[in-house]
Amino acid sequence: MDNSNTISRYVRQEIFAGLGKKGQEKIKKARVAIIEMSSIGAAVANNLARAGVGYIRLIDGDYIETAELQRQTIFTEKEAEDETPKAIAASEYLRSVNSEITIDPVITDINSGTIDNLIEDVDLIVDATDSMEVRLLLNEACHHLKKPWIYGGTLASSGMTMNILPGSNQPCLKCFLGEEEYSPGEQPTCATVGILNSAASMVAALQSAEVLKLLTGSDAVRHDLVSFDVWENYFEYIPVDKDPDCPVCGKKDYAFYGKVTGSQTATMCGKDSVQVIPKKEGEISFEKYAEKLSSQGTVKYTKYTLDFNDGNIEIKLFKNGRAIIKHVSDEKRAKAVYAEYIGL
Amino acid sequence: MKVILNQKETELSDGMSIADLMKEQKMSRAMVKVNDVRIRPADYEATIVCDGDKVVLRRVVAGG
Repeated sequence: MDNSNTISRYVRQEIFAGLGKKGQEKIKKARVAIIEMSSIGAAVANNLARAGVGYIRLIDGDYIETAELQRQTIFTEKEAEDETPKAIAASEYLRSVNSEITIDPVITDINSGTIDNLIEDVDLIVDATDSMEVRLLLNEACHHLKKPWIYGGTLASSGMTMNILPGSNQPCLKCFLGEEEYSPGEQPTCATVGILNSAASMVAALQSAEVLKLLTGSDAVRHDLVSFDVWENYFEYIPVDKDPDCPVCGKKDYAFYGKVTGSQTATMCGKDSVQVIPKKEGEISFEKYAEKLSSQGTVKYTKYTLDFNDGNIEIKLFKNGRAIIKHVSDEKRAKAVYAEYIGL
Repeated sequence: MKVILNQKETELSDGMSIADLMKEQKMSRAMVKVNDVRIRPADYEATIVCDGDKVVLRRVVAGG
């Protein structure tokens, strides 16, 4: 797009006193990673691309489903029908919105083996994951790498967000979670209590504003946790203290970061599916797997994914060997299916 | 005793601590304020809720 002799597309931001032209220049030079193209993440990506953030990495290992269109505002029915990887669909949309910036889609699982490469070369990370385990890993990785990040969560009609600024006197995520261990399945999820798109959009709006503040060095950066509910009609600021005994920012005793173990499985929020990550990830040949699996069922593949269905077992395989085993809730069963059809 | 719990008048047993209240509310993690003062997790057991207190218990939101 040729912008010569035209008014800057960012003119309304440049005349905003909090940013100005200098602020816009900083935004243009900034690099931001967004952890998952969820209801929050897709909305944040849209805001940041339109605001002119120069480099945006979109990290997501999942694909689009129809039940997500209600709240994931940049995806289409066609993409859900095609089960397009979210990172790819988001990147195509955002490039059509702003061709002046760099959009870097990454289809991958976020775990202790991948996190460094995903965040070490960016200025700021936006959390939009639905996994508390990923969030705790991000908290530890960002503490280790001294990267600022913005926690954001939404569920039903509520939301929370807070800036986490390692190296400052500000608390980390673990400071306000306390010592309690995280147990998968103990908390309600969007699959059990639902979610309103307005709540997700509100978290995204608050995070997007903080991104601009942090990137431009604004002294208006918020330090309290924000908690709200668009249905119950509350919006609160909750001050959070740094915990001197915090295992993460106090003692650097990491529970997730740097702890890579064998192959991994994880149930996927609201999907009746289990993700299997092989111990050793690497680019695989879909042609080879199509040949191997075609005698056992239907196989189709694109540039990004291979789908296998034998009428009983349904597998979506990604280029790095990661797979989503559909209609399975038991992780051992998923691992067994992976071993049988793909090979661990 | 009566307290204002998350903006709603609520009847609670006398002598309840924040830890007791969280158990009753089936909350394992929460952000807690009593009369606009943040209560840290280490103080949940020792903090006793009194009649008329304004208590805010907000579950940590994990969804995306």
